Amino acid sequence: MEEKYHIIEGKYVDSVLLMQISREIEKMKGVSKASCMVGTAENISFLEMAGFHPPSGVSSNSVIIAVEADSSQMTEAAIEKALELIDTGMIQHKTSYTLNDLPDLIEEGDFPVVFVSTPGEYVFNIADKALDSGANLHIFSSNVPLEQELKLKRKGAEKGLFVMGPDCGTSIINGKGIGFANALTSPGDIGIIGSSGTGIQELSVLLDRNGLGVSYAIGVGSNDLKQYIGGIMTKQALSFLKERCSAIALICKTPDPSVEKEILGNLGDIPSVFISLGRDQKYSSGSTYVTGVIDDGVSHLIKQIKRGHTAEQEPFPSTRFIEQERKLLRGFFVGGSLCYQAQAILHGKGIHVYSNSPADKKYLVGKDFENVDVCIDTGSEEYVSGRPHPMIDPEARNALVVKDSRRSDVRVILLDVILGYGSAEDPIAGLEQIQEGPVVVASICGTESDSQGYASIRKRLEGTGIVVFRSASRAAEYAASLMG
Amino acid sequence: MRSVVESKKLKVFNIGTSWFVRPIEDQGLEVYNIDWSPPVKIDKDILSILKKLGRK
Repeated sequence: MEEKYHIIEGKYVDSVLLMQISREIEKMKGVSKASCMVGTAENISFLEMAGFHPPSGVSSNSVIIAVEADSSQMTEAAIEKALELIDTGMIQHKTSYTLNDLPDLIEEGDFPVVFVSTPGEYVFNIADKALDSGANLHIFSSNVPLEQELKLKRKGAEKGLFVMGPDCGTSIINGKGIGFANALTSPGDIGIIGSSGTGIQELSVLLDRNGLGVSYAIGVGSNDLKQYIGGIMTKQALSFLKERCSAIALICKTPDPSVEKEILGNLGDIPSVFISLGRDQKYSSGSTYVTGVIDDGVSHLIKQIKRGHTAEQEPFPSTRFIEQERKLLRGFFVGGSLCYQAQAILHGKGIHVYSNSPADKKYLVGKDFENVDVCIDTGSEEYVSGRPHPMIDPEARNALVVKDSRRSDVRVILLDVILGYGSAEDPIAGLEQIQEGPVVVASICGTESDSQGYASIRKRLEGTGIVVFRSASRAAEYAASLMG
Repeated sequence: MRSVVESKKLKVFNIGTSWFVRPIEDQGLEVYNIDWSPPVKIDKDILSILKKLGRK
């Protein structure tokens, strides 16, 4: 076997393209493994774990191509192919345009959306120009300074354009999903406004499963309900959806109290639910129901809209014997909001889990969490530096699940699986290596029409002994019941 | 029940990773690719020399 490395200094290549190129190169004759990555310290460790021996001194400003193949000619050919794909990209666009072409490309009668996924430091100039051209924005990028977000949202609001994001994973416009979204099938006109991408997905899938179709989901980004932004886009989305939808569901995390009050006041008499993840009170105020759990919000909307109907609650399976020495709960999530919701549910049941993205700040934990109960958001910055988000490349998250299944002190492992547009073709790859011992509990956010197929993913998970739920909150409740 | 009909045509312009292009196209939408690469970063010292040379 021959190993070869090629370092490209100072070139920006997006991490998703590098992942796609790695997979393409691995298909080449004689190549046993290949990896193209940004040279961050985490990625270099990952290469070493994969059996590579990368050279020292690779910086995070470089791209490293690592190939193992049958012969040195084959490694050379693979590296050459990788370099070619880095130059051309994976998709050969028939025509490419520049931002200056935008005004000419937008025609009368269009609803234009510019989807931005560049590094955050470059977003403002692009987004500002797009707004000047009359386009709405779906800003997938994170790390956009808050003052820039405010400027963009103020400008968008003045022009009557949406600025969805920054940090917006999901939007649905007239039934079509942009970013991470599911293939929904129920007809209907429910509108969602969300500052949480996976929260929007979970909510839309659970509504769809219960026959309540979602026509719009306006992602507003995680900062919109902060006092500094003042809910500018949430308010704009509300006016838009009230004209088009028969009911509205809002989903968020820790909204500023004064902004929340204003938003609740703006809802008026339209049937609505306000889901503030992790909140422990539930109450109704006029036509609005306030809760902290997605399932509860869904159940309430079903009761309100489909009178006489109730949402089905998934039963818990009978509990098997778990050895006394197994004490720890380990949660590894790709969806930040589902991680947050799980923590809140577990805390509510007296199980105080630590997290890198804690629902309660006193339970913040860094990377040293071997001996405590945890719910880790593997999509947070420290896990995705120089790598695609785990919804796109779930390898590292799934490896954490497999690794902890081998421990003799782990009682329960909790995870989420997200299907749909933008998610990995095989989001559960590698999980078949899970060892018997702890109870592994998974929720699947997805529909049968998603390309990954809900039923086939469920069958594969159950085939490896994993207990599967349709809802993330129910999975967390079951995990909690096993910790008693 | 309010109207769900939208007469406007949803048109998506993609700037950045091409990962999400195909899923959008699969839903029958038009996606236009907008070329983008990060602006070249010029070292402050070099920039000041260029300014002095009047060639900025």
